[in-house]
Amino acid sequence: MQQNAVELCTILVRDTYGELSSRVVAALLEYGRSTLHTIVRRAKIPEKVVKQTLVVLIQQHLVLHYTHEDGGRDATHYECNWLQIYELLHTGRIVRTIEERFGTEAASVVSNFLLLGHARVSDFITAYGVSTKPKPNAVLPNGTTISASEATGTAPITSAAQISKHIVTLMQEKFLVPVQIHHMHPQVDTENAIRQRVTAEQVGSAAAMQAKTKKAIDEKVAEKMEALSNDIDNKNFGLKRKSDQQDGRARKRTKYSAAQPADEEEWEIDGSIVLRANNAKFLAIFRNEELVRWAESRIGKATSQVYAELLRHLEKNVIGHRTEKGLVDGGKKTVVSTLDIGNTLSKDIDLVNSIASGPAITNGHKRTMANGHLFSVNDEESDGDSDDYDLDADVDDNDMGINGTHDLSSTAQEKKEQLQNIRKHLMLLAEDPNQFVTKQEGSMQYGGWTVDTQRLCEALRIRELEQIVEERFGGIATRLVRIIKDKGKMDEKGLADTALLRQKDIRAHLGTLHERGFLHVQEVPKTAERLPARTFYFFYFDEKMSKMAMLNDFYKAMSRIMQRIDHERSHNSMLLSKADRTDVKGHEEELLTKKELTDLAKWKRSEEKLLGQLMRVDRQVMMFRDW
Amino acid sequence: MAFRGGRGGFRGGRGGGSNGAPMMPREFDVKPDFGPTEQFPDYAIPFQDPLTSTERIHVARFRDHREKVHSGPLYTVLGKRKGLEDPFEDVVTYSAKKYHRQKRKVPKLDSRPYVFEFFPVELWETMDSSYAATGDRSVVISGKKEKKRLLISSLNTDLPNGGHHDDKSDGSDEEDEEKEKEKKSVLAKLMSHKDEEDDGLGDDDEDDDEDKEDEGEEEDDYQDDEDGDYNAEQYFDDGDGEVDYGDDDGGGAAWYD
Amino acid sequence: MSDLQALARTIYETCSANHEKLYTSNELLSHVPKRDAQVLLSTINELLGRGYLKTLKQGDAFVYRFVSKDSVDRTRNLTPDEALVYQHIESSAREGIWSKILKTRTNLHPTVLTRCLKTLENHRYIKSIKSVKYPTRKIYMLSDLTPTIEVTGGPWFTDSELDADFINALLVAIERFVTSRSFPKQKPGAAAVGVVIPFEAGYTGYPTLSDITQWVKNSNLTEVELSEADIKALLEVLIYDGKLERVIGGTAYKAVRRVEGAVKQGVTEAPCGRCPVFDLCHEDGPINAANCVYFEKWLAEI
Repeated sequence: MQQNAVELCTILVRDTYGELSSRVVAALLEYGRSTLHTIVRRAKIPEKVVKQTLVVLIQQHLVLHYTHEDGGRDATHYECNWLQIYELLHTGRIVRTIEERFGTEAASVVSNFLLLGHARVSDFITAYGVSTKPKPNAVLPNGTTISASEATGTAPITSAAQISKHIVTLMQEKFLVPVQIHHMHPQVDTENAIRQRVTAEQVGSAAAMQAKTKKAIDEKVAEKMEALSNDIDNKNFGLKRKSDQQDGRARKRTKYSAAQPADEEEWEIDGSIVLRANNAKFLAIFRNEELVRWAESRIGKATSQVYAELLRHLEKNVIGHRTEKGLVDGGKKTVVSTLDIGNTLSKDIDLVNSIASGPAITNGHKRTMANGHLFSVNDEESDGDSDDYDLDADVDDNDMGINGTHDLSSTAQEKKEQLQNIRKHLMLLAEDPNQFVTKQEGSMQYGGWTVDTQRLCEALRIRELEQIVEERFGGIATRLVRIIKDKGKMDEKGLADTALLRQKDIRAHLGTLHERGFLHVQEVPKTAERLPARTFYFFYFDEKMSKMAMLNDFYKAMSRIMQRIDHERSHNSMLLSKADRTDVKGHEEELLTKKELTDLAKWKRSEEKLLGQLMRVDRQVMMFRDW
Repeated sequence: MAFRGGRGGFRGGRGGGSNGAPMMPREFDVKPDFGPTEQFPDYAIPFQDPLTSTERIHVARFRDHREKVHSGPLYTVLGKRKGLEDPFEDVVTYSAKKYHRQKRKVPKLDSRPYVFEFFPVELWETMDSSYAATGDRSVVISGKKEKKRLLISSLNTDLPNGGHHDDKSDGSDEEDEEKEKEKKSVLAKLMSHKDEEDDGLGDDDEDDDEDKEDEGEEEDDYQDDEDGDYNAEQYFDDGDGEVDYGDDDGGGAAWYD
Repeated sequence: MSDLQALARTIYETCSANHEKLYTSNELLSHVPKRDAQVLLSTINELLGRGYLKTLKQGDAFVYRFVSKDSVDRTRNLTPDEALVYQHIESSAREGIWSKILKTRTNLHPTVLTRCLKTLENHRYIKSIKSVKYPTRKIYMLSDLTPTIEVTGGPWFTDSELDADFINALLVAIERFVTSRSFPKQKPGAAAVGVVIPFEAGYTGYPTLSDITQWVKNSNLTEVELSEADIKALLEVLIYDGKLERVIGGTAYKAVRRVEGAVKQGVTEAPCGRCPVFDLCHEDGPINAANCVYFEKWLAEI
């Protein structure tokens, strides 16, 4: 783990959970996996306090543990789950995401799960039921107006049934996931334990063929590890059908089509299961939001809105698994149909005026340009055309089924046009060099679409990297990096030729890029003496190394931002502690001086600015590390 | 050998190797600067693109979440070491004692139910004092645990810009502050442990029971160190044996050095 | 020319008008009275001997080329060494000859060679040129010749220096041209002003390489003749600059859409992103986040 990441995680834990937690975390991060006594020694904190702190950290999933049953003398090891610590940065965005999609009530459920780490459903519902009795009076005592969202927003959660309903929805969409004991253990321990068990089973039976056995064991271990995550992949894991509902109905309705309401009312939660917020799923959501932004900048707003709608359909099945190669969505890989998008897409989006149709398509498959230049439509184009005809036919058929006539009713006509227009936007997304979507031939009645997020994120990273190079080192440096990435290893001469630049003009850029870890140099001596003057210098680009170098810089910059916040806070500590007093809160105007009020506002703006910046860097970290 | 060396020298003297191969290492060397350097040399500091409304909401929610953790039972503040306090700022006045949010030096654990099997056995006792490592867990679950409840808090859904002041960061500042304040006041009432009066915060899911429970918690808090929260130094009176960490020993002497 | 016999003089005067032209002995024979081969031989020998004629080999036959009077006068006054050097340089024609090769060919002592070259240069008989391919080599050619494209580096070079201004001007112009063809003209009264909307998928009106080359030719941007390959090199650079991209299976070019403010910045917009002392910054060091003057200024911009 990089030192800069250690620093950042320590700061993050201190910022949220306070100093004790951060000291235990620091000890764990610095020295790695440790036993209780080692932590006590290294953190220089009394054992009792370390234990208390470990409970906090384990409850929040920030620390994993594993107990080896070592012949009566059990040894428990603790290990920091630093990626989960990093997730502390996402709490705000997670809550907001749910708020936007499911409303305040659901957001408060998720927020509480975040606060609690994990909780047994029955405990959770009980706590909610008790602490959220409706109030007879819904007026603020000091007469302040209730904020817009609260005034128009949903009623407070009042009944256990309502909370259950939210939990079921959030579980079905995998925003909340059941916690199992193996989630509390480091993955390597789980794997080792399984391996041990599998090996024990194998011994005796086929001990003779060593190599074969090993392979068999490996396979079995992999299989069992997969089985562990498969439980969660199952859509209704942890849910049971309500007994008074008839069997079978719910299953049949579980189709792609999101137009139908989810079958939530037919499910109830198994109260004994333990839930937590699924951070990986949120990472996938954030990633998709980024993809939408990207599509918007490349193509246009309306197209990006269509894209967002498509991704939202895909998101329903996303569970999110972190892998070496990036975030794997998991769950059932689905194809979204144009019709699905049409069913849910807001009617306010102007699909028509957001694309300029080329010159009118005539039946002769000839097109006229504005300047009178004639050219024939290429093959790709005629493919698209024939598809359009299919679409028409489909809609017609559909329409006939309903009305029994060829005349399209106005709604059907509208629908048909809408689908055609959506399709135009999807074609733009598919045709983009980044291939935002992939068309699935014939897989679906109205045309289906899939998204290869891993490939897209690869391209996204490259774009981001180039942008960082551009902002930090300018246009020439970007040109050089792109050439090297495109052509592989190159010497200065070749680079200058391709870039149409003088060698002396690119030398300094190459030096800087090399120094900052964006480019690497291979030396090929022409003679055995390895004289610098008799050596070729080939520049090359190593994405992995650049990524590491950049992440390292990101972590450091983030730490500095947090430390600056600390500095600003301590600079204002007296004021802040005054403002924090219970008698002052809500009465700042009366109890604080004018200067204090100004300072307080200034501090808040500063912190917001810094935190906002932190989250912008976070976006880049996610891009390079998680997606 | 000598011949080749000589040739190399000749070419080097002509300035640069043949075939355009430059002498790269020279270029990479940082030029030694023996003159006095500025600690912070001047450079064009970048501007921050103003935060979008979405970003501001994310920040607001983040702050809100952090605030909740800080008000909750898990947040710890170690306070300043003896001798490092600011004689002006750190004076403990009556009003400070009364109105300041209490600060915990250790997390408060025994107020909520746990999923014991998710924790290593060596911590069970810490999580529930009545828990003996060898005891029967079901007794604990059916007995004592029943009374414990998770602490639930309501969500603050204020929009930092009122939702419609997207890019007028300057003009909306005042309103922001107002919202901020409003948010704080709501929060304060919700989260405050001392706020005994339930003044009915309308939509905010505050509750008498919770308050009562909070009071109960408060008592719990004090039982560990009766002197209250602000006696931070006591915590660090190393080795004098005044601090009682219960049945624990060691560690304390070395803590915070 | 007084040194020549009447016949030799007549032949030289008739034929030397074009000293690029190669003459076979048969062609020259027509100038000799009675087509006397014997007379021609002696005349040729006379001309050759005095430097008015050069023998070249074309296939198996010998051909002759007349040397300009200037040249003759030049060589006339040269020392044998200088003449030798001159001849070698002359034979290299528009390619030029590298001093090192000259040395091995003439087998002269370096100091002698240097002296010869100096004299010839002083007389402006030869010039030293810079080759784009071998910028460090000293290359010589006759002063009245223009170096070949291999030596000059083609249209991008002026005096064997890459002409950055010329290239940049072309890049900007081409980018502008491609951009103008990449997006539909904004309709007057369109919904949102300034919003660039895309052409529909499958649009084939994006400019191709030959479209662009043609446009450059017709645009009076430059007098320099630019081939499709030259334009392609420029387009490559624009692609590497992230300004253009290939479309329609790589056959056409399209401008990358630029939207103000669409680029989300991250670390580069924080004070740390371009901080000159970033590497020296440590929490407990003399440079840290708390005493950082950049943060101070950055925060002041609220």
